[in-house]
Amino acid sequence: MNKRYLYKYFFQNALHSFLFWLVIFIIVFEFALPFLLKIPAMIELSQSGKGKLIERMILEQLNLNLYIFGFFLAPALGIIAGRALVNREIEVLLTHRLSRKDLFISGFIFYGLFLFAIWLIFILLYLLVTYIFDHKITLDLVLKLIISIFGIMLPFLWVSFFSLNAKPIPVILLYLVVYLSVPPLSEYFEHPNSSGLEKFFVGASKVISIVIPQTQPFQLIASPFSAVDKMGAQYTLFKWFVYGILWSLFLLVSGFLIYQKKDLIPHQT
Amino acid sequence: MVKYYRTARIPSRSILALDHIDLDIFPGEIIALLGPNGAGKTTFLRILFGLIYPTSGEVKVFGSDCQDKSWKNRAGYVPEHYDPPKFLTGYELLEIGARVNGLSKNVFLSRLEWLEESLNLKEILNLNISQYSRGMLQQLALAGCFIHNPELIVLDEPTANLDALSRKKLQELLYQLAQEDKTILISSHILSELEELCNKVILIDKGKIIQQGYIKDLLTSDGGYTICFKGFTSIPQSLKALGDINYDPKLEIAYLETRTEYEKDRAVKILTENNISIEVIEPKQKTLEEYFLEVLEQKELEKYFLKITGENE
Repeated sequence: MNKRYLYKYFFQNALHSFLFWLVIFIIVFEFALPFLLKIPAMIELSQSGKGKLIERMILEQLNLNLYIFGFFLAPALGIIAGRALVNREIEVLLTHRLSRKDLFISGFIFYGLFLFAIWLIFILLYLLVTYIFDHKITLDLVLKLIISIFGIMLPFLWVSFFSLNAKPIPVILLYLVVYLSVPPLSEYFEHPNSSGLEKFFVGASKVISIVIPQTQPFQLIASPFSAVDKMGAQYTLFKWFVYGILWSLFLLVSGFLIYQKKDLIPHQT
Repeated sequence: MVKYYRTARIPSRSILALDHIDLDIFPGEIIALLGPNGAGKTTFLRILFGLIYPTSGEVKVFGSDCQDKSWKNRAGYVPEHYDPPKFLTGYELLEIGARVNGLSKNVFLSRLEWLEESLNLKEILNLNISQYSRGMLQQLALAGCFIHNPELIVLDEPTANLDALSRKKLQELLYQLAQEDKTILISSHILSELEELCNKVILIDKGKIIQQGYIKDLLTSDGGYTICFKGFTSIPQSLKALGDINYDPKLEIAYLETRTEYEKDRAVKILTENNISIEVIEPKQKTLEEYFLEVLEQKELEKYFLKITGENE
């Protein structure tokens, strides 16, 4: 089977999505270009006495961009990827010599590679800044940067997983509610003096927490000022890596199994 | 095969769309799939192409599971609601379909040339699909179905939205494909179009097959005959009581339409006694539409009587 045509299909599908262009626009004009244009100024500042502080601030800004990308833009791509597999248009392809597995794998390879490319831009910018400011690129930093890919991959996979089954607006609302409310809730209810009712809510919020991967640490893992450094004392990088891999596999495999057995009913998709 | 559509999380609110459908389709058959709206025809066809799953039972196409992709390059499908990707041109969509079905570029182009002629596609293929009218979309759906020269052709309301010329072209194309021993399964509400083309009928109502068989057997009326006779000076009065008589003065032939076997035998006897020559006696044919309505009305009557007897008991 000629997969080239499937990639071409997903590419054209993405090109006709407003969200896709929004992601590209923000990456280029908000994240990448401002940094690239400031390279001469950075080189100049790196020689000054405040070089160390300015480097940390620039790196923090880069990390914040990665956080924004992971929080807003990766889920947007997740919606495009998920909906591309269940919309009415996909039925036309499924009546040809294509299986759902072909569509699922091609779709996620296409969007996965796109995300990877954007992540790579962030990483290269990060390394460029550390190089300009003569910062030592340690193995620990490289590992943190590698693991940060889960900061964009997990929200992408989580949202695309739900987009296979629901329309975009409920998925976005669920994402925002769970993402924004669950961690503080569980922290609050874990207080030692909590009542039975509070413990019930702890349990409930924990159950929801299982469903949503805790992606924030991955998005801030390479931040010079990040609280994750403190967490690092408790969790080794290896544990973070395993956590990211397991969640990614879980979301991909369960998403595939659901998609494989899903009825494509026009009025529901 | 059984199919329930779940309308809510409560199983009791599920809708039974197909109720124990058991069906064999053999190569070379041209089948009309008939039934009133909501009978389950489209559900059946969507299961066949792996778009939805049966709740229980299995469907095999060319010996493989219907979800398997291995047979799909041997089949073509025109869905009831064709909704192709709007961002492609008609040509691009047909190319994707042909190439994933394993056609080389050259074969694709030659098939396309043939389809342009057969379905009157010339002026629409280079347009973006978002610019297509409903009729143009239907033409594209048909082209997508035929582009890889399938052995099994499944058409769900193929003439919907087509103009008279395109309808005629499709009819001619289907006749041509029928001559090539293709297996064709058509669901349509325009029964006159199916009557000439199909050799088998499957009638579905409320998810169940209520009748199936060869069209020539099903459309033969019970006991009704047409008797052609000539060589008479006047038509005997006793013959007129047996049915309607039409006279063709050009051919000097009269046609008697009898309703029962008994009337036919009586008529033959009267004609023989009066030395009138009988040219042909043939069973009277119903139209597909008459047959369809008759079966459905009979079903309604059965339901009504069952209700009445239930109430009386």
